Amino acid sequence: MMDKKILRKQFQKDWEKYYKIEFLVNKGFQRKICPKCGKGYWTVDPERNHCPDQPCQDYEFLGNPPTQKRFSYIESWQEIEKFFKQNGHTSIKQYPIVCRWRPDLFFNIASIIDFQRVEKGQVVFQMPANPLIVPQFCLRFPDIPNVGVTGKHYTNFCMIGQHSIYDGKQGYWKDKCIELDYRLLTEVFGIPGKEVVFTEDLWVGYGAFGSSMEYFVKGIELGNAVFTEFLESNGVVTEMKNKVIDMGAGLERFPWICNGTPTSYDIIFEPILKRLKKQVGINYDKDFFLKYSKLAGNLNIDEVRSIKKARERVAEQLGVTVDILDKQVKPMEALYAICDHTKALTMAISDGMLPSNVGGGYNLRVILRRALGFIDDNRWNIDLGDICEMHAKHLKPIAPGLEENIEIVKKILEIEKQRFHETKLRTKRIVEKMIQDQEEFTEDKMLKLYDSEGITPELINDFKPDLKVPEDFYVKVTEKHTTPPKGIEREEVNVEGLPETKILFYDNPKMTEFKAKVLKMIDDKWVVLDQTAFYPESGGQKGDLGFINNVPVSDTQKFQGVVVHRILGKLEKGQEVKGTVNVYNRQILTQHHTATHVVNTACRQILGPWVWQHSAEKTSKKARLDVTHYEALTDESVQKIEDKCNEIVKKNYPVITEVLLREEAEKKYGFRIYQGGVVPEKNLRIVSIDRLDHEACGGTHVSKTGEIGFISITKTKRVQDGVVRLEFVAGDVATKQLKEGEKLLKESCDALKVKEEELPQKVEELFNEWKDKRKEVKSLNR
Amino acid sequence: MQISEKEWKELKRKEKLLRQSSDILKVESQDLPRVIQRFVNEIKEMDEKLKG
Repeated sequence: MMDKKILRKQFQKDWEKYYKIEFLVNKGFQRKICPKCGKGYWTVDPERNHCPDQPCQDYEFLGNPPTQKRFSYIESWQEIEKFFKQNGHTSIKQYPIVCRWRPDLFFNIASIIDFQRVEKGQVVFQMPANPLIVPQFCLRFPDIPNVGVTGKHYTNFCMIGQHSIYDGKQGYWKDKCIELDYRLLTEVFGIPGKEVVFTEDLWVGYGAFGSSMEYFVKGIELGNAVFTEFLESNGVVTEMKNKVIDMGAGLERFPWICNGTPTSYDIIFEPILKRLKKQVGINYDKDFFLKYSKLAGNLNIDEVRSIKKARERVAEQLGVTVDILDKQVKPMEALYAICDHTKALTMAISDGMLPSNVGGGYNLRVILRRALGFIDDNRWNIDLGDICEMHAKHLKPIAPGLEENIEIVKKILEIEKQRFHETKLRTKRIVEKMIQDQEEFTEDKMLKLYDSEGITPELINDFKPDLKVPEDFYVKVTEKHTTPPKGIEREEVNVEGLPETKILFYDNPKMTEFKAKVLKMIDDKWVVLDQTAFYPESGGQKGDLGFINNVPVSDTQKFQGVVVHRILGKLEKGQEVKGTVNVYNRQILTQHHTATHVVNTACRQILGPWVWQHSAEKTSKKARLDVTHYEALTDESVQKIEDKCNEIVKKNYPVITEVLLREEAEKKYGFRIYQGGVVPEKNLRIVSIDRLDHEACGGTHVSKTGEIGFISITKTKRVQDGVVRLEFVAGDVATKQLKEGEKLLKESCDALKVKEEELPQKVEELFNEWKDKRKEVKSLNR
Repeated sequence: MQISEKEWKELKRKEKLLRQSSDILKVESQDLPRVIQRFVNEIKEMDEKLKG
C-alpha cells in the first residue's frame, strides 16, 4: 500500500489538480498554508491566519453558535435530508448496525460500508441509487473511557453519508459535492460563508486512494468528503473508471453547532436528559458547565490517566477545589455516558447482537456493565430498559424500527443486569477465597475465570485493587476463541493448474450417476474429474460417498473450485469413468441439511429474532446447529422447537432454490440470507422454505419439507456465552434411533420388572436404595 | 421406513421416559439397561453382606 506521507506530499505539490475546486474559487475562497501545522486550507476570510483544526484552533462555538437556527438532533437530519432530496439525491433507509454482509466487521463503522461488498477478495460497490444520502448509525469502541467525559466522544453516532459514483456521465464529482456541502451549511444551517473552512487531506484504504477535503466551522470538523479515484496494486497505480464520493458527516455535530451547548450530549439526548436529571435530582448549572466545557474541551484528553490531571488544572482555572468540581461534573458525565451506552445497546440488540464474553457481543457487555456501574455508584433509581425505550421513541424519525423491538431489548437488558449482579457476588466470593488460600492471580487463572465464570479482570480489580492485568489479556481471549481446536483442519490438496470442475448436481439434483474423464490423480489418493455429481464438503455438509467405476470414494472436497474425490484404489489420467453417488447417504445429508434450515427457523420463531446461525454441521449420523441465544435451553423450549419443526415438516412447504444477483437477493430477502456467513460472490444461490426462511446456501436440499421426515432433537448444550447447540436427527435416522431407544426402554423395564411409565420413579428408588445400602455397608466395615 | 404421526408420538413418549431415567443415573441412554442391572446386582451383594 502507498505511504500516506509520501502521497500527501505529492498531492500538496500538485494541489491545483487535486484541491482547486472551481466552485470555491468562484466563491472567493483562497488557498493558504497553516504556519502551525503546514496543512493547506481554503477560506474566504482574509484575516484568517491558521487552519481550523485542533490544536491550531479551539472550539469557538460553545455558548456562541454561529447561526440563528436552533435545530434539534432530529430536525437537523430532517433538514439535511430535505436539502439533498431537493438536489437530486435518493434518501436511503439506514442499514443494520450489525454488519452481516462483511466478514471483517462485527458492526457498521461508516456509511460507505453499506455499499461495499467483498467479491473474490476485492471490495466492490453496490449502491441502490446514485447519488444518495443515508443516515447510518455506527458503532465504534476505542473511546469508551472518554464517552461522557469529553463532550464529543461516543460509542454510537449517526454518519450522514452523501455518496455518488461518477463515471463521467452518471453521478457527480468534487465540484458538485463541495458546492452542495457549502450550500447545506450556509443556506440550510444559516452559517455565514466566512466561517466555513476547507482543509486538504487524503484517504488511503482497501487498495484505493484519493484526495479529501474536510470542512470546519468555528474549530469543529463537520464533514469529510473523500474522493476515491485511484487503485494501487503491487506499486502500479491506475485511475478508477467509476470514481466514488464518500462524504461522511457526524449528524451529532450539526445540532451542536446550532445550539452551542456545553457538550454535544446536551443536545443529542436533550429530551432524555431532561427526564433523567429530574428523576435523579440533578441541579444542572448551565453557566458553570459552559465555563467548564470551554476549558476541558481545550485540553484534548486522550487517556483516562490524563483526565485526572486535566481536571486538576481545570479546577484551578475555575477557582474551585477538585472535590467541588467532581461533585458538579461527575454525575452529569455518568448520565451522558448512560445515555450514549443505552443508545448503542438499543441499536445493536434490536439488530440481533447479544452482549457476551466474545466477538461482537463483548463490547456490548462492557458498555452495559459500565452503565450499570454508574447507576450503582450513584445509587440512582433509574432503569436502563426505560432509557432505551426513550431513545427508541426519540429516534423514531431516523430509525423507525427500534420501537418494534424495544420489548426484546428490555428483556435482554434485564437478564444481563441480573447476570451482572450475580457475577459481582460470585467474583467477591472467589477473590476472597483465593486471597485466603494465598493463590496467585496468574494469567492462566484469569483466563480460566473469564472463560468458565465470565469474570473479567476489571471485576476482580474491584475486590483486589493491586491486580496486574496483562495488557494483551483480551487479545489472548480473542485468539483462544477464534483458533479452531486441533484435529479439525482439513488436509490441503494442491490443485494448481487444474480447471474448475463442472458441477452437475445444481442443474440436476437427483442425478446420482454420471460419466466423466479423469484429469489427474493427486498424491495417489485424490482423483480430479472434468465433471462430477459428487457434492464436495462445504457449508457444514459432509462430502458425498460412492464409487468411481468400482473404486470406493470415501470423501469429497473442493479447493479453488476443483472437486477432489478421495479414492481407495487407482484410476488413470485420461480414463473415461462412471461415477455413482451413494444415494442413501446423500438422501440423509440432504434431509439433515434442510432440517438444519427448519430448526433455525423454529428457533427464531420460538426463542426470538436475536437467533442467528453461529455454525452448523450435517453428517449422515446427525446434524448440529449452534445458534445465538442468551441462556441454556429449557426442556420446555426444546419441546416447543421440536414441535414447530415437525409442524413445518407436516405442512409440506415447498423448498425453492433460485440464483439471484447479490444485490437483488439482499433487496428481496434482507441480510438474514447470510446465516451461514457472507458469500463472496456476485451471484447467490438462495434456498427458501416457502416464506419462512431464505438463506444463501450451496448445499443439497429436499424439494418439499415433508421429504425431511420427522425431526428429533437429541441433545442441547450451552457451548459458549451467548451460543447454544442443538443436535438432531431426521427421517430414517431419527426413526431408527427412536426404535433403538424403545428397545433400551424395554430392556431397562425388564431389568426392574416395571411398566414403562413407572421407570423414572423406580430408577430413582433403586438409586436411593443403592446409596443407602452403600452407607450401611460402609458403617459396618468401620 | 415411513411411520405414522401416531407411531412417532409413541416413540417420542418412550424416548422421554428413557431420557428421564438415564438422567437420574447420569448415564447415556444406551448404557441404562446395563447400569440398572449393575445396581440390582450390587444391592443384592450388599444385602448378603448386611445379613451376614
